[in-house]
Amino acid sequence: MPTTLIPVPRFAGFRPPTILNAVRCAMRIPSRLLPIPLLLVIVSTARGQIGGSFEAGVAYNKLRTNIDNRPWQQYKPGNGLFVDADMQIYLWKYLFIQPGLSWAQKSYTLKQTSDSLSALNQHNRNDYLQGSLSLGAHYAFKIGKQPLTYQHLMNIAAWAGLYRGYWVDGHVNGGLANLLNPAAPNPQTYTYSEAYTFDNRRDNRWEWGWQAGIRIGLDAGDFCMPFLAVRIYQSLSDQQKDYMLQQVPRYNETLTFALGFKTKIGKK
Amino acid sequence: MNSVRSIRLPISIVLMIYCMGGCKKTNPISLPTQYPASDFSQVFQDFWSQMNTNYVFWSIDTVDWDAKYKFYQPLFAQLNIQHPQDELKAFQYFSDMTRGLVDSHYQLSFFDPVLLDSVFSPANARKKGHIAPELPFTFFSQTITKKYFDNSYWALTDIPFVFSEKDDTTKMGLVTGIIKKHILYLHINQFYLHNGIQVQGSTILAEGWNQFLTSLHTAGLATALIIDMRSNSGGEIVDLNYVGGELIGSPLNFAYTREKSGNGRLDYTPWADATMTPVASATAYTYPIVVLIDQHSISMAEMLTMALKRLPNTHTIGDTTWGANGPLNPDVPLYGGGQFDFAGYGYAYTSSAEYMYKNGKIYEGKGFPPDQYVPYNQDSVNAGIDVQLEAAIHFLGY
Repeated sequence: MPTTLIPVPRFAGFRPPTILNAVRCAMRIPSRLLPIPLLLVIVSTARGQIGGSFEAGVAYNKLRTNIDNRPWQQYKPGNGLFVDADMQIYLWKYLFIQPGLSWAQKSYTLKQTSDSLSALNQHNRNDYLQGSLSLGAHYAFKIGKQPLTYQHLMNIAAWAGLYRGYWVDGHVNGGLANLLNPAAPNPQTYTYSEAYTFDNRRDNRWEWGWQAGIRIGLDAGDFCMPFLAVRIYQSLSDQQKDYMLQQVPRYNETLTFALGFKTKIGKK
Repeated sequence: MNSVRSIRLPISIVLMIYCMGGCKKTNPISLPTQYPASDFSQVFQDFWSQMNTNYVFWSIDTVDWDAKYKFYQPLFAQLNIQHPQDELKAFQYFSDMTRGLVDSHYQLSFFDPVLLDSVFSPANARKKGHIAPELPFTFFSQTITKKYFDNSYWALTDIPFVFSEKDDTTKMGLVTGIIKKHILYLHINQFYLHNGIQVQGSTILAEGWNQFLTSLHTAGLATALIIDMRSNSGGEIVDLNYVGGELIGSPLNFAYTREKSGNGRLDYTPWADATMTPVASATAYTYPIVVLIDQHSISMAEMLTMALKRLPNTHTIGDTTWGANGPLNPDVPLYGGGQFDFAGYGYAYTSSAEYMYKNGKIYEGKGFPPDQYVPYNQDSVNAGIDVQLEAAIHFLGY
């Protein structure tokens, strides 16, 4: 008996919920957004609690590069602010998945090695918005010999994963010896403090790399749990586009120290 | 104790990961292993990479420096630094690879005895055969003073200076006088005026300069001013204030400069204001000013012209200038870029800062155009007639 192919009705904005169509939909998602459906799948399969955390603190950034060919200059680390919000999706007894969103100021100084020229130092502060996805483990342990109440339980968690960041904006301040201002005393130092001007030929505004961290805090059960977190973000992408031969790459390496709180959002 | 054990592992993991980050390779730009370099590969590498970091016009230059590397690196590798014929070939390669550079100050010279007298300037090479002749100092001091001036004074003297690490002297000349009773005229052939008067103590230059200042400040005398920058090859930046500072009453921002910072080809500082500052007790000159320029108005002559053009009472007449606006200073650590010695073999004389006029345009390699175009006329010059000066006198209404 011949089979008749009945066309599936197509309405605007609607597709029959078949696996094939789901795959097709997934194929059309830009690779940059792929973590989102992946995360939704993880959330839907999670068996345990879902937690949320917020933290704020400082970022200590080092620009890893090499400027030995200019011995009168060196890059020095700089400090900035750091804010982060994460979600913890507990998969099993000790394991969790941690997607997060953070804002980090990655600063550094291009310093003159001669102290007499310190007025010519340039401080860069670059603001990054970052999304991260980590796999972690946590463990609760008792402090001392007190009765086992939540006031005497600590929780420690460690995680590692990948992150992707976008260089949102920047700021530069410092000084330069002004060649075209011959007034005494010469040379005049021209000081500046202004928004960083991006150069599309040079600046690579997308950054990615690995990240890891630890968080230690009181285990308050269902309540708000204060904690201290230390993280590292190591960029694996050059801060510059590949725009010239013999380019010396520049990688951000950022340590953050933050205080925050963690709470339970829901339980499946 | 248990709690300490519990946190030891995660802390160790984070520290280990942190140290892994520290292993990331960021190799430096290679420097010559010998000085002077023992082969042309090192000479080429040092020249190419210092051009990368020190040359200030990469933001606008159309020369593909990476393509130059790919093409010339194997050619230099075949040359023997001990063979004079190969050294002449190397000179040709250096000239060819820099020929299109926009920096109109740019000049290559060499320390090696074989090439000691060989100099290459891309701007000279480009302009050769396409440019009007330079006016000799005698045209100003003799020809036009006799024909147009009521009274005049001129001086010419030797000034020692250092160029491309070589000591030399240059002829500093000044002509001043009055035309048609009220037009004060000043021509300077190079800007070593402050140096000549204040450092070298030249009395003939001082006398001419004082005559100019006396006429400038005598009430009712100089009701118009012609500053003649034609065939002025530039000079020291200090003359910006020493000369131009006599005509303004407050600091004048007329342009911007930026310097190299870091070792990337496109690494720059932010733009800084270029400022002309009045000399002590100077007041603004409010009468009309005409600045005469030609194709041989170079560097400081162009910068002073541009600075004066910011005044509402200034009009420029003549021809488009040479187009070498980037200021120079040999102190690379202080200014971040500019001239350099490559591998002890040669010297690249190049601007230390990129220069942008107040209107946002960069005139490097193009030249600054006049308000009123009056080209050089060889027949008139031969006949002792200065058509550009006559246009200035006519513009001033005399």
